[in-house]
Amino acid sequence: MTEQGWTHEQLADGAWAVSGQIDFSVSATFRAFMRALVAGARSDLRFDLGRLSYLDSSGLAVLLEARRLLAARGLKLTVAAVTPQVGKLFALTQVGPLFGLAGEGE
Amino acid sequence: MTSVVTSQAERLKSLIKASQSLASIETQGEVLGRLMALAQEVTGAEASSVLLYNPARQVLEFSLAENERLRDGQAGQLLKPFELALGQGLAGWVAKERQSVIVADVTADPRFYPGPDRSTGFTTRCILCVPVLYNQELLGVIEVLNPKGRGCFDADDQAILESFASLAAVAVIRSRLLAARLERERLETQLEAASRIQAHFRPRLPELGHGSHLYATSLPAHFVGGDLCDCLTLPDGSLVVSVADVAGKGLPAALVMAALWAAVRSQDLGRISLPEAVSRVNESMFEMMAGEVFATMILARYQPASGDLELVCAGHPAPLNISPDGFAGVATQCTVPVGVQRGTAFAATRCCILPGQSVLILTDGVTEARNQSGELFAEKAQAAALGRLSGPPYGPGLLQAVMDFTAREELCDDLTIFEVWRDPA
Repeated sequence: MTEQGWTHEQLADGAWAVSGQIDFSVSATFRAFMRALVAGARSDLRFDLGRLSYLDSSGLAVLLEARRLLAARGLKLTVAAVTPQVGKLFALTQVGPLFGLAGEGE
Repeated sequence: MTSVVTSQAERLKSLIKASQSLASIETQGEVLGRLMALAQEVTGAEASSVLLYNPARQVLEFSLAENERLRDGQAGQLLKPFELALGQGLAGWVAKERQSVIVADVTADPRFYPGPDRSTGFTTRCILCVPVLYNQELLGVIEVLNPKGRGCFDADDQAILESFASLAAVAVIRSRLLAARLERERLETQLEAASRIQAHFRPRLPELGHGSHLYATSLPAHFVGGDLCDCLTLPDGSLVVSVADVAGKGLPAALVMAALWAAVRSQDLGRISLPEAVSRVNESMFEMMAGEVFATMILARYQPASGDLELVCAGHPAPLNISPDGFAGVATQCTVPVGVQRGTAFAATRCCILPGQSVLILTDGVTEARNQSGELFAEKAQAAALGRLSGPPYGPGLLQAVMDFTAREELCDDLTIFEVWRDPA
């Protein structure tokens, strides 16, 4: 269990950069953020996870849920960059392609 | 002079009594009742009441009302129907401004709110009202009404009532802490019961024969967890093993784990293929959780007589094949976890555990165990630990290595180790 949190910012190109660490202890706040983002989305959502040093399965579940909610409205959630740890999780769980990443995640 | 000293002595005695009440009475209602009775006595008031602040609704709610001029029950009429917004009535003004007030003639003060008087039939003529504060946090107000045998309350009455308000603040905070502790204990009792129940989900390991053996351990990070570890012997003598890791931790993950356990067990594993079984579990999980929760999973079938192992991997770490020469991950055709997507096609992989070899199925609680510096156990320490062990079963030694690494009583993540090994030829 990490004690550090996560932050987010919208980049100039419209993508959302999420950095820090997301584990079970903060996944509820991450979920609230993502659900609000999804609810207000009028177009595809793009994420840059290049500075997200840790993501656990509860955080990945939030991303998958957001992807599913967007897909129900004909929108996509894509991930543009991942750190080695996050890439490893994407590769292990084979979900990289669901977010537009190569199978190996990086 | 003598009467003044006597009066001060009586007030001091009342304060001491009130302090003693705090030590001997635990519930908020009892403590406040005792404090109010003493406050009313020492100020010589006809009536008194306590209004507690509800921060969620930003109103004052009547909590206690004592009135020696009203019949039984009339004072109680104050408790339910009345609440005051901040700034409403004298009590609301005191709460908003956090200042005590003495009003000698309430009929001449526009802040006075006559609603309670109308309801009870009591006539308020003079009022002393003080805020109940704890570290600047507003907890409520205390008011006393109509001093007996004199015109109005004075500064001494205000000072003593403010002292009682300080004691009341401590009483409220203390009772909140006690209530929180009781609630925590109640939850822990429920979690302990849930933990005992979840322990029944763990399999009783069968004797396989043919020189094959089993080891399994599944530990929740805190009371209950989302790791599934189960096995059952089919009529043909094969062993079906399911190891899964539900996303998340604690009670929510444990509930999904129980549903997953039932979903796997409800499959006709003697008749359908492993990919078909996982596919059905996937559909069941998706339907149940609407894609909100997933679980990585391995479903395997082991033939003790031949050492043949067939397995389906759904987003789960690959099992480790360990021989005296070293170890390597079992090649699998891994897919996404169960619960992520409807219609996922799962595929089986086959291998053989040779005599002297061992296969370990782990959850990520092993590699993602953290020490007190926050460092992960990771694959490197896992490899080092396995390298130090001389032979099967490797599970107990690996578990000990994780525990030594974390050096704390509780794990960071649910952890499962399932091992099947064969005696050397």
